[in-house]
Order: sequence, then structure tokens, then C-alpha cells
Amino acid sequence: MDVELAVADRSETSQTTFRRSWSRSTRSRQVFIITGGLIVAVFLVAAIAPGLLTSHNPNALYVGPPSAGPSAQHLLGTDELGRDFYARVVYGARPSLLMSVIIVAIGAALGTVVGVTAGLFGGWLDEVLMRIVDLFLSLPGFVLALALAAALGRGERSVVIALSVVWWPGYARLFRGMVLGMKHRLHVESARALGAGHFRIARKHMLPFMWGQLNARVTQDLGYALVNVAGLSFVGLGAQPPASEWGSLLQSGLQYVATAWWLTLFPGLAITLWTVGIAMLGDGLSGFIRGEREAGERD
Amino acid sequence: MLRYAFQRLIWAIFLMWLVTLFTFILLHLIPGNPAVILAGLGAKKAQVRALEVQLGLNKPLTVQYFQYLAGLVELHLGRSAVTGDQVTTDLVNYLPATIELVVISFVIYVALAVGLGAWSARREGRVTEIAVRVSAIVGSGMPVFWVGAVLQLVFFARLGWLPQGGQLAITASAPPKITGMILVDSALDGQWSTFLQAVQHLVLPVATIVLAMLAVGLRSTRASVLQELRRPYVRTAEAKGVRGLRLTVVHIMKNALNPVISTLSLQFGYLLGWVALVETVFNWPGIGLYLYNSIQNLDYAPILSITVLISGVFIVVNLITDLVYPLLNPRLRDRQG
Amino acid sequence: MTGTNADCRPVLEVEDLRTAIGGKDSRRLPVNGVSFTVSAGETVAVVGESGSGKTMTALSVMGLLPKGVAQVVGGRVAVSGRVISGLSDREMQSVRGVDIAYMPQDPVSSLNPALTIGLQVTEPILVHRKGTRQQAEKGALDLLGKVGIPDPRRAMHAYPHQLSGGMRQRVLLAMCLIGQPSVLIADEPTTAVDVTTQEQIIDLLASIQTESHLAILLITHDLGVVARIASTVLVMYAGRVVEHGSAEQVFSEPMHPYTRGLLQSVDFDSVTPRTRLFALDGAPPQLGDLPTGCSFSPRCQYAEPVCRKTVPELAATTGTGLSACHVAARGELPPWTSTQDLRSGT
Repeated sequence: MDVELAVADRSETSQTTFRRSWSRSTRSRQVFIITGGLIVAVFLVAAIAPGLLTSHNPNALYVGPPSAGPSAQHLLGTDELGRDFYARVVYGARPSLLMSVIIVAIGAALGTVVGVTAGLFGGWLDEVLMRIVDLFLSLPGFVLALALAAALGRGERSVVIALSVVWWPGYARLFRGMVLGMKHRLHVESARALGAGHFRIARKHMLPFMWGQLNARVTQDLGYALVNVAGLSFVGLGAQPPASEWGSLLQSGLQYVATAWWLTLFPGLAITLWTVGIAMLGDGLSGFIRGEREAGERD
Repeated sequence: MLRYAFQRLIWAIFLMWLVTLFTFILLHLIPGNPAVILAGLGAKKAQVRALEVQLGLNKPLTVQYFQYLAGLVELHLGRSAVTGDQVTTDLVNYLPATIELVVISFVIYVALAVGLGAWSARREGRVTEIAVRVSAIVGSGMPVFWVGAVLQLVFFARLGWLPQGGQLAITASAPPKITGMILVDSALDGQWSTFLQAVQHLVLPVATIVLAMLAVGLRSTRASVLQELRRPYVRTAEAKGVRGLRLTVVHIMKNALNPVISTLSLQFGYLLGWVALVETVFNWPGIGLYLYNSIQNLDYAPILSITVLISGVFIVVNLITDLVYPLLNPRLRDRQG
Repeated sequence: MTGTNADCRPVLEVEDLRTAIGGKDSRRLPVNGVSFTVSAGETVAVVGESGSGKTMTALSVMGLLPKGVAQVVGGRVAVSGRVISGLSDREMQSVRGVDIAYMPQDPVSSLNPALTIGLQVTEPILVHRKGTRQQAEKGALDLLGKVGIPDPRRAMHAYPHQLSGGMRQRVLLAMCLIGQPSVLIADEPTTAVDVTTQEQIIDLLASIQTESHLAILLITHDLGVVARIASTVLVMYAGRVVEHGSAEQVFSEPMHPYTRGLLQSVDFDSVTPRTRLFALDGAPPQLGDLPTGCSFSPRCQYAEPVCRKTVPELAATTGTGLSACHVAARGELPPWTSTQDLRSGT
């Protein structure tokens, strides 16, 4: 009898596991994934192929009456130079998101190297590296990034470099923690498994757990990175006109708060929506990733 | 305990030193003669020459660093091209407004985050939980300068209830300067109409800061209190007849605040960074606005000095937080020895 | 042996108490029709394995069930004649600590780590406004000394983590007694401490009881403690009382198969006469799937067909106590021979 049951289990393919995971996840998780996913998808399209979302040229001057409110022809109105604002915002996705993604990528890459090294080797190397990490974490990141970006000169490159420098220590800590956790679990698991092989244990238990942690961190960071990038653009560093990065759009729209409210509302809304959307996606996805569920995820 | 305090102090000093090293490196990263940079555009040749000597530009880098450090300590921070004054003078002028804004905002924020967080934790219910979770996601996604802009839009542009910015109306005259903080000075001088006006002007910037940070602090407090509520000592207290406010404040908060304090101090760090953005939105005459103007004009002397200043404040606040921990948690006191 | 000072006034009356987990209509009843009384100067012990419902009974009496998880759904509780079972939380709070006190299980985590001992011990007096701070502090000092804390003055200013487990248990005792309650519910007072301290705590309880005619409801799974101090014993299983009688009777002639099983499982080879109850075959059933009929029947060596059909009620037996067993009710339980009388141990 038991043998039959065992055979039945093994015949499940990976296709059905997805469907099973989906139906097992709660209603709120599903809502989060769908909403978050949709938002992120739209934003990604805006960044990669903005032409798909608008036919207007974001830099074409006076395509409509200047400082006109939202209308049928101009969904988000026009700015003080008559440019279609919706196009400005859509085309602004690329610099905004590109910078954020690169920053998180560099931060994660650097952080991985440092963190994994520290975790694997331990000893004095670990001590030294972690001291350095602590150092960065004990200083006000945004302010230092601001100074660095200013010193490097205006432009996207400076912002990316400056924020990456500030971003990597967080990942170093995270990866070191994961490596240490893995080392510990490896000992525990192999004591139990007795010959199942370290590699298989690592694959079955550690990797899902790592993905879980990474998922939570990266989705959150992609949002935070954008907020910081926009902040630096807001003060004049970062992408320069006519690029319509959202932070700088907001800054130039500020003087028209009383007369052209759409110029300040929509760029900020875009930033918020991205952050919320990706956070929702991450939150929802965490239910799928077994590692996080093992770690005691409760909805 | 004393040894712990000493360790923390050494660490703080070390961090401060690193910051000066950082700004020194930046100074040399910026294209151009450091003396010219610090002297500001439009400086006279003599001033530049003097700075060159002070910075020791013809000497090896390490010596230069020490001279730079000496300059910092003596507050020779250079001249601002924008204002034409010594950076030191500018900082003194701009600082009070920022202190006013930061202190008031942070105090209100802490009171609200802790109060609301604890209250929402005592209230059970799925609705509260979802509301908190959603507001945390949304709250931390809204950039602070956008919150400010939206508030300005609604309460100034649309409703006309509150002023657009500045500390006082353009036509108003400031009270005699004692602390430099208009709110305090007008109160000290008995100029109550000015005081009221100052309050009016404070509302939006303070609200901006509080709203931008509230979601995180609230969630942190709520989570911490919820966790404490599950602990056995709470039942012991209830078994004695302790209830309500006393239970929350005397028994739970002392334990619940520990993790919350580290979140709060982290947020204070963010606040120090964001104050530039908020001051820009509301044209608030503080360090942040000074920084913003300096960046617009690539006026480096103030930028570097403000970096050192804000970092310094951040380091000091963290030090204080580190020292406060053992006070709240008796177990730590003994462990530190 | 104590418990004989009992005068006949019942101070704690519990009648048909029922508590449900997971909603009013749930069929999971960790406390399922429990009744007993405790008189002044009497010690009533409630014994059983973990999960039998002992602590839940105590919490139900105190009104301290975790909200949203469990609630009292039937029965009546009265302290010194006053009914407390229907009271609101607010009203209960004026009863707890002064009329009836609860001494929790784990001394290590039951004290607030951030508050001094002094504050925690004086609290019942201050919260219930039974005295000034000075009076409370003096009372606390006296009590701390009485429960055997060396240097009470220093203890008052100490924090819980600075005291050993045994000291903390005593602090808990002082904290319970300071309000001068008429009933003390002691939940596993000897589990978390070492043997010497166990003896001392029991002696303390006994002497305090003699002095102030305190009614004690003792919850424990340690039969040795029961033998030393209790006059009446209730044996609980799966939420019900299965045997209820005087300590003498329960130990010399247990009238329920479960009780017999417990007594037999006592480890007579252990060094100390204080022993634990375990090692019965099988395990107590989950509340969600109680067997039909007698809950103990699957593990019972005397089980008969009727046992699997009808739930036995507490009924008189050939002894002086009550037993919830069909076989015992018919007088067909074989006579009991034990190899050691626990009560004759020290």
C-alpha cells in the first residue's frame, strides 16, 4: 500500500507543482502578485519600449498649449514648454529605473563577493571586512552619496557610482549571514543525512532559503534605490535635462505647484507606484519560494 | 558599563575621522585647485594664496591631510561663492532653522509612531493588521519630497489654508535673535502673533517629515509590542490585577522599545539626509536649502562642510542611542561590565 | 501533614466549568465539566499529564485565557461566596491579586526583566490601592524575608536576571501573597527548581497555609508534592475530572485505572521520593479527536465494551471518593496493591 503512494508522489511533474503552489497560496498573496506584477510589467515596458505606451515625443516642444491640465489629447497635461507630460513621465522610466537597477546590481555583486568571502573564510578576514561594513552602515548614506555625486560631477554616472558605494555594505551583511547560516545548517543536515552528499543538501535546503532572503531584499531595494536616485536628481545631480528622470521632473514642477499641479503629482506618483508595485510582487512571491515558507512565513 | 561607553566613544571618534578623510578625498577628486575650490568662485587672489598655504598644497598628500584636518577643527571651512561669506558664518545663520524643523518633527514623529503603534497593537483585529501592513508598504514608497509637494498642493494651492513655504511671511519681520529659532525667539519676546505665524509655517514641513516616516516607525512599534504581549510576564502582571495603561506603559513598553529604538535612530539618519529635500520644497532657510543652493551652483566648500556636519550629528546621535540601550535593558548593563 | 486545618467554609467553588478552544461552539473542550471546592486552610491538588487541562482550569478560574483563542463557555466560579465567572475583564482585574492569586509556572520568564523585584512585588498593593508605597515596600521586605530570600533589601533593587531560579520562584510566591488573597493557585511550583528548593517551597506553602488559612489549589504533575501537602486530589484526563477524593484514599486505594496507571509509573528507583508521573503507554488524546465513550479507554487495561460507548460520569465507588469509570462504579475494579506508599516517604 505504501509503495503505491510513494510511486504516485514521484510522478508529479514540475508543471503541477507550480499550479499546486499557486492554489495553496492565500488570496492576499495572489492579489499581491497579480497587482504587483502588472505594475512592474507596465513600468518595465515604459523603460524598455516607451514608444509602445505613447506616440508623443517627450522632447518635442509646444505640441500643445503650455501648462495645460490633463485632457484627452494629453493624458497628463503639458509642461511649461508645451511638452506632452505623459510622454515625459513614460520616457522618464528608463533613466530612473535603469539607474536603480544598476545600483542594486552593483551593490549586490560587490556585496556578495565581500559577504561570501567573509562568511566562508572567517577569522580575521571576516573581522576586518565586517568592521568595514559596519563603518559604512554607521554613516548617513544619502548624505555621503550626495557629496560624492556632487564631487564627481553632474550626470547619471556619478549618481550610480555614488549610490553603489553606499549600497553594497547592506548586501555584504546579508550574504555573510546567509553563508554562515548555510554553514551551520550544513553541519546539522549532514549529521542527519549521513552520506546524502553536501551538494544535494545545499541544493535542496540552502538555495531556496537564499532565494527567499534575496527576493525580499532585492524587491525592497529596487524601490529604495529609485527613491534615492530620484532624491539626488531632485537636488540637481543625476540625469540632466532634457532627460525626464522623475526626480528632476518633480523639482522643475515645484515652482508650478499652484498653477500646474500635474507637474508635481505624477512624477512622484510614478516613483511611489513602482516602489509599491515591486514590494507587492516581492511580498506575494515570497509565498512561492519554499525557503521563505520554511522560515516560518505567516500571512 | 563604563568600558562599553568608552568603546563606543572611540568608535564614534574613529568614524568622525573617517568622514574627514572622505571629504578630503572628495576635495581632491573635484577637478581644479583645492584652494580655488574652497575659496569659492570670485575670490581674490590673496584669499586663494592664503588658502593654498593653509592647505599646504605643495607638500605631500599626508601632510596636506593633516593641515586640512587642522583647518576643519579651527573651522576654516572656506568661502561660499553663492553667499560670499565664510561657510562658517553661513552655517551659523542657517543652522537654527534646521534644528527647529528637525527637533519638532522628530519629537512629534516619535510620539505618534510609538503611541499609535502601541495602541494599534493592543487593539486586536485583522483590519488593523492589514491597514498597518498596507500603509507600511505605501508609506515607505513615497519619496519625502513628493509628500511635501502633495501637501503643498492640497493645503496651499487648493485649499489655501497654509502658506507655501518659508518660516514667516515675506512681509513679516523676524523677532530679535536670541537662539535663531523663530519659534523660540518669538515666544521669548512675547510676540505671539509672530509665534502663531511661525507655527503656521511649520505645519506643512513637519507634517511632511512625520508622514514620510510614520509608516515604518508605527509598524516597528506595533510588531515589537505584539511580540511582547505574548511573553509570560504579561500574564503574571495581569494575574496581579495590572491592566490597561499601566500594563502597556510600565510593563510592556520598557521591553518593547528596545528594538524600536534602533529603528528610530536609523530613521533619524534618514531624516538628516532628507531635510535637504524638505527644505527645498518649502523654501525653509536651513542647512538643507543651503546645501541645495550650493549644489545648484557647484559651490563645493559648503557641500563638503555640510557633509561633515551632518555626518557628525549622525554619529553623535548614534552614540547617544548606543549609550541609552543599557539603560532600558538591565541585562545589558551587567554584561557590559 | 497539612490540609487538615480545613474548616468547612469553601473559599473557592468551581461548578461544572467548561472552556472551549477556537470559538464558542467548538467541541474542543480542554476544561469539560470540572467541579471542586477548596476551603480555607485546605490544599486541593489537581494532577494529570501535560495537556490534561490543569493549567487551562486555573486560567479559566482567573479569567486569564488568551483572548480570541479560548473562552469559558459554561459553569460557575465563586470566591468567598462572590460569583466571578460572569465578570467583565475590568471587574476581574479588581479581584485578581487580592482575592485570588495565581502563581505561574515558569519563574524564569514570568517576571518582567525590565522591572525591579521591588516594583513587581509591591505592585498588587499599589495597583489595588491597598496601602501607601511605604507600606507596600515594608510588606514586600517582610514577605521576601519570609519566603526565604537572603538580604531582602538588596533583592528589592535587583532585577530578575540577577536571581537564581529558586529565588525567582520565591519572589513569585511573595508577589502572590502580598495582596493577602484567600485563594492561591500554584501552577507547578516545583517543576522549575532543584530538589532542595522544592522541599523549601513546599514547607513554605505549608507554613503559610497554617498561619493564614490560605486555600491552595495546587496544580502539579509531581505526585510526591501532592502526597506531602494536599488533602484532596483531583485527577484530570482530557479535560475531565476522572477521580476526586481525599489524598489518603487516592493514594491507598485509587479508584480509576488512569490514577492507578499514574501511581504505577512512579519511578521507585529514583534517588529521591519526589518523582514525576509519566511512562504510561500511549499518549493523551488530541482534544479534537476524542474517542467515543471514555476518553481513557484506548489505554485502559480494564476497558469493556460499555466504556467505548458511554462517557462515564463521576460516581461513588467502594472507596470514599468519586471516580468516572464504569468498572469502578460497579465495584468491579480489582483491589489495589502498591509496592510503596508514597505518603510515607519524606
